[in-house]
Amino acid sequence: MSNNYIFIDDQSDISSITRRLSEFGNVNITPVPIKTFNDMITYISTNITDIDGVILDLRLDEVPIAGTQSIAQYKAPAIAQELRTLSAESDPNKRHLKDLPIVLCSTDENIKAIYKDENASHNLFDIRFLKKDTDNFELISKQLLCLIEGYKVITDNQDNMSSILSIEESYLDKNLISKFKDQNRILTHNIAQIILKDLIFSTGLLIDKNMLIAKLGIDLSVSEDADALISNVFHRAKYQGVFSNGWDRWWLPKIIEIFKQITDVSLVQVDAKIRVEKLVENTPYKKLQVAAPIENNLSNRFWTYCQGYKAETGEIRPLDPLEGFKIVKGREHLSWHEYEYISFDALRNRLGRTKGIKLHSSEEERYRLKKEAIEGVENGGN
Amino acid sequence: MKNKLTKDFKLLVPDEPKNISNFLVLSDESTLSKFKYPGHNLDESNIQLVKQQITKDLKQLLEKEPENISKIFELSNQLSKFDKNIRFSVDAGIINRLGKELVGKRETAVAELVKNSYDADATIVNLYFINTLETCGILKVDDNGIGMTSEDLVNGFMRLSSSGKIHNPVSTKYSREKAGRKGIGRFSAQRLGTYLTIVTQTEEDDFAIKIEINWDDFVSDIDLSMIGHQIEKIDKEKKHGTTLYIKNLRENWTDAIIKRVYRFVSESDLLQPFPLSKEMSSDSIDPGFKVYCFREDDEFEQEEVANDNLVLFQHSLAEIDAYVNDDGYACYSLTSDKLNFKESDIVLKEKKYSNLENVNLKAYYYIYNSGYIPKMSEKIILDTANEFGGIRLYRNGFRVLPYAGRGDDWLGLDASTARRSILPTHRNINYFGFIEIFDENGKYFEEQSNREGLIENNSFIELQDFAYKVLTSLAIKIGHIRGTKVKTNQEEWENKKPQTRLGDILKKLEIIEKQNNAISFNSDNKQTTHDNIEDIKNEITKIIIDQEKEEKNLIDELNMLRVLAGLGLVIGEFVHEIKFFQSSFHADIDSLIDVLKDKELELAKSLKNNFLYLDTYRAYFDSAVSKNVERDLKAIELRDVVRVFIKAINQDYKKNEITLEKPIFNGYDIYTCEMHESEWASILFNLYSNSKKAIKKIGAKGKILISAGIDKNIVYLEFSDNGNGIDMKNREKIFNAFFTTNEPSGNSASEHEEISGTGLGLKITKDIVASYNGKIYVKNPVIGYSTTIRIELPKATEKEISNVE
Repeated sequence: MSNNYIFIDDQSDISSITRRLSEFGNVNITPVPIKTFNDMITYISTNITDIDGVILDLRLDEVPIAGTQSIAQYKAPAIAQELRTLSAESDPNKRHLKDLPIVLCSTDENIKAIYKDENASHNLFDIRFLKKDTDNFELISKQLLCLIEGYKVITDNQDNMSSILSIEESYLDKNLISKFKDQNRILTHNIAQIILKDLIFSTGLLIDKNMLIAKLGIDLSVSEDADALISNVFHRAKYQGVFSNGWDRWWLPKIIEIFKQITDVSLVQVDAKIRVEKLVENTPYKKLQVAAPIENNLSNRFWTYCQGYKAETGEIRPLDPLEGFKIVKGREHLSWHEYEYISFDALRNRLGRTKGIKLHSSEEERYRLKKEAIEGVENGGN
Repeated sequence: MKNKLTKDFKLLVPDEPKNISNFLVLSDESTLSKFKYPGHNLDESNIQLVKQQITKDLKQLLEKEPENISKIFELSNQLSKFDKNIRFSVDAGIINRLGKELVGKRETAVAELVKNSYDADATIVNLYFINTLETCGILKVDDNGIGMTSEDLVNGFMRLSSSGKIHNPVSTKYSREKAGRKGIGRFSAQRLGTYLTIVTQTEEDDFAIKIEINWDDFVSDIDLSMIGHQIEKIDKEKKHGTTLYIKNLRENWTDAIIKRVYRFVSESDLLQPFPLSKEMSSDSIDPGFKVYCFREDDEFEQEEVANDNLVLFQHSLAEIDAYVNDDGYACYSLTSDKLNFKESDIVLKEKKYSNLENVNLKAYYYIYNSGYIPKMSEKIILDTANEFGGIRLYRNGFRVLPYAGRGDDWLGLDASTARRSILPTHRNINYFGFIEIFDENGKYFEEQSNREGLIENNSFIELQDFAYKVLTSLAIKIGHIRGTKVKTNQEEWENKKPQTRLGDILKKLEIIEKQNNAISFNSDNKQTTHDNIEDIKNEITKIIIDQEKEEKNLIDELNMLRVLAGLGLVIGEFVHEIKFFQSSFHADIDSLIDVLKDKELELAKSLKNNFLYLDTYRAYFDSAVSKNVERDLKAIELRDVVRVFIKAINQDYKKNEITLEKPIFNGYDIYTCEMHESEWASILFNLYSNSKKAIKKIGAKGKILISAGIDKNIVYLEFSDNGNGIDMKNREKIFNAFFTTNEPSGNSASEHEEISGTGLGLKITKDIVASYNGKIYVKNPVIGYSTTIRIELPKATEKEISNVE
């Protein structure tokens, strides 16, 4: 198994990038110079047996095609769309290509914003990464590998959701199940998209480590045993399905289940102080401390963390969603998803504001009222 | 009242039928007509009885008390009512009614009294406001006029609607055209206070006379003539003149109101100039008229509140006296206390005035909006100048109209200023002044038959020329002195904006239009129209030339900006382009780090670090450039730009061993007015470079603090460092182009040092801030720092904020 990616870019010298990404032994990436659209599709279909995945630079129309004066007349989404269409082709007389991971790579941070606005492109690419994010190339190469592996697993277990996700159906949301089952024809890349975007990248059924810490109510910065607690006590909740090698996630229902088993109280029903007390009491991990509420907040019934602090300073500051304010989410909100929140304090201090965090319009009035109330106390109460 | 009278009447008729006198008092015309008391109507026989009784009483009175004029007058008055011939009689209440109706404002009332003094040929009137800060004070009007004899008093002052003014339209001594409105004076006194004392004396009499009037005596239902007043003879208080004491003033008089009175008096055209030519003064020549206002309070301190010097002339920029000397040349002396300049007896030899003699000119010169006049007074003076500015003409002591009347430009000053052949302003409103000519035999000047000015003969033309030359010499001289002192003002003047100049032209066109519409379109109007059109043509030609020059300047500037903008674009492009290599650099370096060991590994790590340093800069500028492409202005929250900036220079300040303190934000929603976001990159970067240089000079560990907040209607940002500080004397200069506190770049200085040392950074910052009506200045440093530069900008409006929220 060679795990070959081709990297299509109009910039001639991307060998440093492809070589570096290949160095970790996960994937083997070959740069492919820009061609005309048809030439490119022909090239891919001709070599499809040797290609396990495609990486596209977003801008393919900036540097002329080698040996010509003209630039390519398309951008990455066009190629991606064509590849997806060809993979969906069911007519045996027509050209059909196998489904493979398609990854978007870009040079520009601004592209993030442009890409974000273009919803249609969302469902073309499995993941995207920044070319300059070289510090994370090892992880990225791992994720690239895991995409190839995942696509194979999905293709082989098309109808077996339980084995794709490696979990009993009873844990899953009915709407999620419907998404898999109630469609006439579901393709590999469609399933991959659901798993990546609706499960792995969205908080809800699956949560990441930050969210797990927040829900347990632990202050990570002063809790030495937190990592051990997670890997040893909650390991049974870890997500083991497709793509799990690229992203660490935990099944939330299982976390709740385990917590109940070991502490005999419900994680959802007690506040963070009790949660941590119970963990200390019932596990060998004593160096755990409860997180303090963010300034101007009172509740420690934490269930999320403040996205403002995370974006601005990288800190994970647990937050009771009832005290937080919903922010605009990049992805579609589905029934098993949780909203993302920002604390009042972060909002007022504009933490994460330049990172694109924006108050959900439904919360504007509530924020205004709270601001007036707080400022009334600050100004009048001395 | 009615009840009382009815009661008296009832008692009188049955009980004292003999008391005819009282009976009559009660039954005079008004009362008789009013009271139709049933059963007691006077019948014809009763009336006859009454008539006989009065006649009898009168006879007795004349025999026994012939001096009791009042009683005699009263009885004869009553008797007259039985006469077949009926007469008008006047109710005493009329005095109060007339007072109120004829004299409205209290300033007018005082002005009328002053006019009476003027009409009495006074040269000085002193107004003393005694204890007038509250009501019931005293106003003393003290003049040195010719005074009144008792006859004058009785036939003049005491007689309503006297014909004095009709008979004598000009004053006796100085032939002044009488200014007072007919017979208003006494009502003015009544309007001001309830009690009046007049003390008056003439030069001829060796006594003064005094009369006291209590206006409260003038109540309704009494016959006006019934109220008598005692005339007393007393010792003279002065050679001649009249003093009015108005007591129990109805209103209070503050300084502000007194000043208003003064303005009122001066605007009413009374303050005539004093004579200029000493040798000509004789008894019959009007020496002018002056008013002084004083306040006296209990402590008996006298305080001058207003006179012409205080109000007007003290603010003049310069004062000029000029005359035509015996050789026929214009000769002047000029003083300017404000510019500390004085020159005397300057003779203008360029022109000889052979048709002028006994001509004197005095003028005060004012320049507005240049800081020479305190703002508080400037408006008043300018208003006064608009109405009364210009050079008046007095011939043989008489004002000659229309010269320097409103809208009159007899010396062509306004037209000349508009032509701009002489740059310093010399419009009519820049002067208060007058020309005095003595030509009693009409040798030089002749009045037009319609009495609307002088005939434009050679003398008149020479007079105009003389005045114009002198006045423009004054303006040029002062302009020159100011020019050497305050150059910018001069520049400002020359750089008068085209829209202002076009606005002036528009005004002129409006004047022409008005004149065209005027009913009488005489040759004067034609001439003015012609002149105005000439002016406009000249001005437009000049504007065209100036605009051509201006355009050239603009093109030069534009070219410069184009070069810089081009450079900016190239740099932007560069910053954008190198990012394609960055990823490759990092990928390669990372590969090296993985395979290298020991010394080589360290080198590779250092290489990586240096590239990171380059990265942050590049990213910051890349973002600034790409944001600059967005043309839209938006409200900027200072938290956002400060945080992004600090992140961008993260590597740089660490490398320079500078501690960047956590920024302090005072308040929330620190939104500036709408700006380009990239402008904040320039501002913060320039301030940072400046601080870095200052820190380098102290050679110690540097620290920088950025704080921002809201203060009423502004938002501010303060940038503080602990560098070598800014000299007090340089506080303003550091924002000037090319000012630098840096050591001059040596021969070995790299090009970069030369560029960074030019001191353009703060200038650009200032320009940005100023373009949004903001301020930038060096303030007293915050504690723990040696320099704090503060920027203030208008706060965003609610709407501007909601646009970005």
